[in-house]
Amino acid sequence: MIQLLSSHLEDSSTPQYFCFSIRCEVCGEFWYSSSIPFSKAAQAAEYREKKELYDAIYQREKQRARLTAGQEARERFSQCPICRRLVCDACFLICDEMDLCRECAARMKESGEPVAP
Amino acid sequence: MRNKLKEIRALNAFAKKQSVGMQRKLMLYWVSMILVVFAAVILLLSVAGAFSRNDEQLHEVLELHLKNTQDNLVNHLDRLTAQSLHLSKELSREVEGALVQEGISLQQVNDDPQRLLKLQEIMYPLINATLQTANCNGAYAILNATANTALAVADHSRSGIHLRYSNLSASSPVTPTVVYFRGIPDIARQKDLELHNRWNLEFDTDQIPGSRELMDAPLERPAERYFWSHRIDLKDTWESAMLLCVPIVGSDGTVYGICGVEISALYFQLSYPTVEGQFGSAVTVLAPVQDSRLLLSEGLVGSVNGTYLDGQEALRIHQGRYYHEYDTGTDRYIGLHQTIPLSKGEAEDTAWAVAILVPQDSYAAYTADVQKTWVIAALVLLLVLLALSFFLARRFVRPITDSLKRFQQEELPEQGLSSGISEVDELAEFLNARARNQRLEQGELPPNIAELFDQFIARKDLLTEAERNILRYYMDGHEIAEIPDLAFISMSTVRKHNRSIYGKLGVASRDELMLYIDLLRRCGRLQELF
Amino acid sequence: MQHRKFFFLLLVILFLCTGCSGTVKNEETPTTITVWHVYGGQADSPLNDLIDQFNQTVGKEQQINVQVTSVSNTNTIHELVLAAANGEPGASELPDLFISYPKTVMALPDDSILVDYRDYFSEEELSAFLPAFVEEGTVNDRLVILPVAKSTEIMFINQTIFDRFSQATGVTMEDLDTWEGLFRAAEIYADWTDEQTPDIPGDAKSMFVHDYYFNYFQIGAESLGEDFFRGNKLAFGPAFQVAWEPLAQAALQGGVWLQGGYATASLRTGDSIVSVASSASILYYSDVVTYPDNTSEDITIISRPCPVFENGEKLVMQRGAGFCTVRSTPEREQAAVTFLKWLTEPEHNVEFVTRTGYMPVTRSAFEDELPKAIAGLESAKYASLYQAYLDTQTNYEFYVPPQLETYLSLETMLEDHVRAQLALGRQDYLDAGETGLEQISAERFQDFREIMER
Repeated sequence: MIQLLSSHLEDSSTPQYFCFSIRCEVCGEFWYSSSIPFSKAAQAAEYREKKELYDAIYQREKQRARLTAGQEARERFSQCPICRRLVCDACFLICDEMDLCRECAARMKESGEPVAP
Repeated sequence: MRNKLKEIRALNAFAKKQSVGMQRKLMLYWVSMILVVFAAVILLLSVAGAFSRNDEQLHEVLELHLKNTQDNLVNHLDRLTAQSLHLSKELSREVEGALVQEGISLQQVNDDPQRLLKLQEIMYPLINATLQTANCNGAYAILNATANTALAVADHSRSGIHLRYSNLSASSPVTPTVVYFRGIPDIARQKDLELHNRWNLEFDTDQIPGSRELMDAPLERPAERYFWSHRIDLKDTWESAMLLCVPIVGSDGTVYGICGVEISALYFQLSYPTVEGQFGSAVTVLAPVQDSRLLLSEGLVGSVNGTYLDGQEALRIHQGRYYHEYDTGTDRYIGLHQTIPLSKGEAEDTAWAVAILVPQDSYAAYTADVQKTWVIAALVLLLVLLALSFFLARRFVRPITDSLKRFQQEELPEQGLSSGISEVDELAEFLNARARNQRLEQGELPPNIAELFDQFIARKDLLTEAERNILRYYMDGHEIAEIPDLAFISMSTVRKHNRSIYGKLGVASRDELMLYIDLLRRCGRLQELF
Repeated sequence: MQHRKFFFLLLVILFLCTGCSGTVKNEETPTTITVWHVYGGQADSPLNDLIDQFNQTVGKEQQINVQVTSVSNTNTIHELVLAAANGEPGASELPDLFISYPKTVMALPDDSILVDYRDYFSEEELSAFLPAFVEEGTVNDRLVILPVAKSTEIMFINQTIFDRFSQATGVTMEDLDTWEGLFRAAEIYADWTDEQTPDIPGDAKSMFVHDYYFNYFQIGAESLGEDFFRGNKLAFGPAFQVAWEPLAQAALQGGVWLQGGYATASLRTGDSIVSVASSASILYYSDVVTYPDNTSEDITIISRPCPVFENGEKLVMQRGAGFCTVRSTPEREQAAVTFLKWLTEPEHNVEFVTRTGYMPVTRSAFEDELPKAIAGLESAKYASLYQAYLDTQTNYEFYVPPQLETYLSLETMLEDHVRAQLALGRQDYLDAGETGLEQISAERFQDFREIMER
């Protein structure tokens, strides 16, 4: 699951903050992860001569932020067992036989309740 | 009374019922087997004669020793006889020569001290040479003549020379001092010899039994008849000796006198030291045997170190299979003897014997020693066997007891955890299976708890298929956090399911749910949840 | 782990077994100790009887067996001991016990081969001995010679023949109290015996024989107030001359027995009738004299104190050897000492000495046991000896010879040469037709002195 989420994470970071987004494949809404500030943002702006060094630190922190974002996304994204799409809790229904995305549930006429209203 | 009997019976029955430890029982079997084998070995050994080996060994040692001693002694005495015979021939020639020169017979020398002195002067060098060359401590020659026929003692007083060594000592080949024991003192003074403290001019032939007979009968050759006297006390001295008596035979067959050598008790004692052996000190004895008695007082006894023999005893001989016993009356000796010929041409021939005597005490001490060794060795062997049986019994019983202990701790040996003994393993498996069956058949749980379980199991029908899927993960032992990754659903979905599972099954928390699952598994009813 | 323990156990048991099977020393075997002594010579030996007694009693109890391997005289033992101690080829092994004078110990290359009795006797035990005797046995501050019996010199007389001589010539036994008187009597005896066979001239018989002329001269010189020794040699003072004169004159005239050997031999054959010898020689005096024609005569031997010089002190030689114990193993040494302690117990000591003509060595033996023993003596010969002994003890001073290394060689030399010179002198005197007595005596003395001082 974590790999699936990682592969769907999209980079929305700025030089000061790290932030990633995932788009629900049913409703198309973007979810943004909590932004994490780059610890050396001020120094990076100030010491141009150490750009490469700060770039390296930036990349390292970005990796970590990406993992954190993946963990965060685990709370609210599921994969539909039928269409295999990544869907947000609002579009994922808890049905009797099996949990399904809104569209697959409608198609198969399964009633259910969304995880998040 | 009757009650008491009953009680005792009951006690006995109880004792019988009381089960004996496996190890002890095994030990008991081992020990009884060892004892039987041990007894059999001892029996076999004694039948095979392992315990009479001492006697046989003693016999061999004694026989060998006796043979050596006999060879030695016979050789010694033969040489002495040969030397005495030689002395006799020389003396006969010289004396005859002197008599012929004077034109007289030996009878005419009687009552003539001057002529006797002359004859003795001729005889002295020969006797001295014999003393110096032969292995003896004295040499002598007696002429059948006396210095004074008028005396009352004349018929048993005979002129002659007797030279002896005065200071014998055990290992000293140093030329011992020659003393002049009998003979005309003028010769002693000429030759610068000391007179013996108990010197006498002439021999008393009564002191040497048989000497008169030897002198009186004419003979052809000296070798025809000679003898060793019994041990005689040298008059007035502390010494005693055996004399070899060889006749001095003239060419016409008249016997001029006798000559020979002397072996004193002391000399014999020094020449034949005791032999220290494993069985004790062996004493060499040369003595006549009469009426199955060994007469030490008439023979010679070697060194008696280590025994209490004093050379005066008459030992009664008790013949035995391996050795003879010799009884002094107070002490007992064991040994062997062998008769040897000593004399020749004697009318009454005394049987002389060489004997080897070992104090019975020291042999007894030796055998006791050997027996002690046997007993100790046997005890040690027995101890070793007992220790071994204990060790083996413990080794054998230990896996069984260990398994038993494990049974008691309810840790039924799982497959693969084998005790090393197939029977025990089978037993374990059997017990296992029976325990399982019993539980299944009897449902040995208390009824209220069983009801709780039943309700729990009944409620599972309320769950949806999706919820059951989640519950299965829990039954397989997975944590909540692992579920999203396993089921590809979000954590929020999981939580939502949990809430509805807890509600439907009537549990407050996951811990309570897990307790139910665990208990059901232990009761073997987990499968009922599916 | 288990296996290792098991093998260890097996090994221990094996060792135990080998330990058991080692032959255990048989405790029944008595410790045999060997003895060389002088008490009895070739005659019956009272010490041997006592040793038998010891072996049958204490010896049996304590498993000690004492064996006599040589009975001879002190000179022979001296030579054997020296040969053995010096490890000469062919020498016999030293016995555990031997009789010795201090002279033997002095001549030993190393006296540490002997046991110091102070190691085995307590002070108390030693104080039982007469102090002078213990003193005599001490060499280089070690008590190596244990006194067992002491003797003195005594004059023995063949009373039977002397009485005959006395009746014929008027010489009395009292004449023998001085040396001068004795040698005069010897001259008279020579004449008297020579006259009995008129057809054979020069066949005079000797009256007197001295066992040790060395002692004669030594006591003589000392009793006349002169030192006999000077350093390691003889002094040859005027007193020596005084002693020489009467002896030589009597000897030249045939009155003194000059052949070698012990005094007892010539008394046995009747060749002399008076002797001065150790009291211990009483054992060897026979009560019979046997003549060349095989006739024999029963005689009575009596004892008198040793003669003295007319102008001399009454001095007499004290002699008596003691037992030396050779170092060996503690058990053997202990066994030897056990025997010696037994032998010096008053009861046994007195029994031993009164049968051998000695004096006991402990105070209590002297004071308590000896008088009883003397009173009980059956033999007249021994009674006479002990009478003479008591006389000597009351009237004489005892003289103990000094410990000189050359003592023995001087003694042997003097013994040989004094006899040889006097015998030569006797021949000269006979050859000279019985004249020039004084001159020949002086010549012989001169020769003798030259030889001795060489």
